[in-house]
Amino acid sequence: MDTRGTGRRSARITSALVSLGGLAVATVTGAGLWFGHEQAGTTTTDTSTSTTTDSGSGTRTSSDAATDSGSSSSSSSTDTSTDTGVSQGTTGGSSDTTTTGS
Amino acid sequence: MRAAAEWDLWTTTARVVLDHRDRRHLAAAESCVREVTAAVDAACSRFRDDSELLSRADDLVRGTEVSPLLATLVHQAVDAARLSDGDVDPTLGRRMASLGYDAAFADAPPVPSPDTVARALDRRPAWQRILLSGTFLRVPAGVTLDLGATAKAAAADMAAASITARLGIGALVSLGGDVATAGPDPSGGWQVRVQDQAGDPVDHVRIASGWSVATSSTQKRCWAQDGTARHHILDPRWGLPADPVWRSVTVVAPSCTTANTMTTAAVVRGHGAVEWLRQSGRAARLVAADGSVLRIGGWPDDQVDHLGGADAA
Repeated sequence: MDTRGTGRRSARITSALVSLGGLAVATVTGAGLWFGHEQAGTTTTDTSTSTTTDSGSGTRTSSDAATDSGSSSSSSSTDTSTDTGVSQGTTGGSSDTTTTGS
Repeated sequence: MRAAAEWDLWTTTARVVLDHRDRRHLAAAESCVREVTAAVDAACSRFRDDSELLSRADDLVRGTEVSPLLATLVHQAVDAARLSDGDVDPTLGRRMASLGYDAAFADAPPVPSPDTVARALDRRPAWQRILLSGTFLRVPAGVTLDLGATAKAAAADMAAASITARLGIGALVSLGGDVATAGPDPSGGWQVRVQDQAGDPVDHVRIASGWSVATSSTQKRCWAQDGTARHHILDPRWGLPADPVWRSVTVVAPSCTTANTMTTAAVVRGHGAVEWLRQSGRAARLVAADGSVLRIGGWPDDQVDHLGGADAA
C-alpha cells in the first residue's frame, strides 16, 4: 500500500490543526490580553475613579484647607485677638467708646 | 449700629453699649450698670461718710466681717498690689488726701498694747498687712483704704458680666474710660477709640469679646502744689506723683481690673514699664511725654502717630 500520499495528507491535516490551535491560542491569549487590558483599564478606571473621588476629597480638603485657611485666617485674626484681646479697629467708622485716662 | 446710653457718674461718664439687635434691652442694661455702680459706691467710696469703708473704719482696724462686695473689692485691690509688687497700693488714701502727711504715725494710739507693738515691729508695706479672710477684714491702724485704682475697673467688669448674666446679651461698659466687655460680639466687634486728651495720638482698635481695656494718664486730675505740677497716680515709694514719663498708658487684658492695675503700675514704673509690660505678654500702648507712641505685646501698629492730628477729637 502506498502510504506516501497519506503521509503528506496527514502532514497537511496536522499543519492545519496546529494552525487552528495556534489561532485558537492566539485568540484566547489575545482575548486574555484584551480582557487583561480591559481589566487593567478597569482597574485604572477604578483607580482613576478612586483618584477622582480622592481628588474630590482633596478638593474638599482643599476646600477644607480653604476653610481651614479661612478659619485659620479668621482664627489667625481671632487668635490674635484671642491671644492679646485686641486687633486692628475700623478707622473710618464710629467707635463704640473711647478709653481715656481717669 | 449700636444702642447706647450715657450718664454722669463719679465725676466722669458711664456708658453702656449694646448691639442694635439688642436695643430693646438697653434700659435693663443701664439698670444693671447703675445697680452695680451704686453698690460699689456704697461699699467703698472715700467721698461718702455712709459708705461701708468709711462708716466702719474703726471696726476695720479691730477686724470685722464686711459685706461680700467690700471683701471682693479689697481682695482685688490687694491682688493688684501683689501683681504690681506694691506699685498699685490701696493704702494711700490719706496720703492722697494730703500729700506729706504720715497718718500711720499721727494716728498711733498713745498707750502701746501687744497688738500695737507687734504692728510697730511689722515692717511690711501696709498693703501686705491687710488681713482678709473670707469676709473678715482688718486694716492696719492709721491706714485709709483707697480702692479707687481698682474699684471703678472692677465695677465695669461686674456691670458687663451682670448684663450678660441677666439678659443673655453682649455688652460693653465704660466707666470713665475703663472699658469692660462680656457676652457675644456685636456685628463688627467692639470698636474702641484710644485717646487720652484731645490732640493726643489716636488708635482705633477692636477689642475681643470678654476682654477689657483701660488707660491711665498723667494728664488727668492734675493740680499744682507750691508751683509743682501734680497728678493723681502716686509712687508708693515716695508718696508723690510718679514722674510723668508717659502721658498715658493703655493695656488690654481679660479683665478691666487687671488692665487698670497694669496701666497704673506702668505709670509708676516709668521707663521700667516697657520691659515689665513686654514680659507680661499683654498688648499695651504707651504715649511718651513727647507724644511718641510705643506699641508692644501685639498691639496693632497700623496706626497714625501724631500729636494734634486730624483724627484728634
